[in-house]
Amino acid sequence: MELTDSVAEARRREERKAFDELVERYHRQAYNIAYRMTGNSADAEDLVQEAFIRAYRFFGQYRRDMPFENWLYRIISNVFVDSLRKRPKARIRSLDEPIVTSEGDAPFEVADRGPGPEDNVLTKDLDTRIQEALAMLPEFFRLAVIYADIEGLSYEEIAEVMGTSIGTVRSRIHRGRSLLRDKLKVYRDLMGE
Amino acid sequence: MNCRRVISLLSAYIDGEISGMDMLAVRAHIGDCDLCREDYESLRATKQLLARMPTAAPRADLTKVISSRLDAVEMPLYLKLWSGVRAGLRAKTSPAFGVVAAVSVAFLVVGANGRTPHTYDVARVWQQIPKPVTLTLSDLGKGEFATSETYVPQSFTWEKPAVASQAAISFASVTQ
Repeated sequence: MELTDSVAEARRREERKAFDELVERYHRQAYNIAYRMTGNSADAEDLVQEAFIRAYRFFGQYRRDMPFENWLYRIISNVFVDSLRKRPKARIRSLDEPIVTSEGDAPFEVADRGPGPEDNVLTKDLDTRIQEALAMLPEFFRLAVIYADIEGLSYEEIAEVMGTSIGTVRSRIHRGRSLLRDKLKVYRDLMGE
Repeated sequence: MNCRRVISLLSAYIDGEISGMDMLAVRAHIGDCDLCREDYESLRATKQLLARMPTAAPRADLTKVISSRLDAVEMPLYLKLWSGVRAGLRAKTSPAFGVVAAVSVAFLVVGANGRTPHTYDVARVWQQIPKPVTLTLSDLGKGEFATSETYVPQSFTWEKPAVASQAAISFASVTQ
């Protein structure tokens, strides 16, 4: 009994050591992709941590014929989509609906999102602009475009990572990229492309 | 190939994810059609913008944070057992492994059934079993040589071993 216990314990330690090496090797890649998905470092860190913990829990189910990073990407996608579902939905209100206060009603004012005089297109760096444009994409388009253009995965790999068909991947990438193109047009012109 | 069809294929064309026939048709079309060529070039430039983005770097101690959170992870029992069984199957050990794994699982299920000892009404079960053979030798009708007709066990008590689950897991790990 003692012998079998120590064998099991040794095996567990060995598995943990192997997993720590995978964390060391892939955490930068995972963080980069998480950062592009979430658009900020705090959410990206949370996403990476949750993904590695989930990967560790289910490490026994990892099929060794799939590259580890692709399996990790699949988990990151799932954790990311789950986190969006958990987030409370914004309340939809009419722009004409006045704000009711104890002092009386006040008209609802909408903030001007357009570039102000200090917010010139050249003052923000291109990376921030692209990140903002990415954040505006519907999440499945965003994920597909990130996997294709930032991580360089094939459509087949993306289909596996996102758990969908190649046809769906093809259409998500095309629609996501077209939306991005429209949002980024002005910067491409500035870059002379 | 018309413009509509070509535009729908442009991203896949840029990514090289298109059949040879379609690739030739798209290439020929954007050579002739200015509007579609413009569309193609803007999509290609968008892809390049993304590809050239700098890699976002995590803070230096992220691996330490992950490691300390992994320390706190206690894997659920069913996953431990499942990973042991899977690892055994992957290793293509002898068919005996399957038997050992099945017995381990059965052992665990019984062990997890409750903490109180189980009393099985063996006498009732015994009577329900059909008995096609009736021994006729008179000697066997007495004492410990009872026939199946006369020998009826009264009850059977089985104590759950305290370490049943541990035994099963260790077994699964060792046999890999």
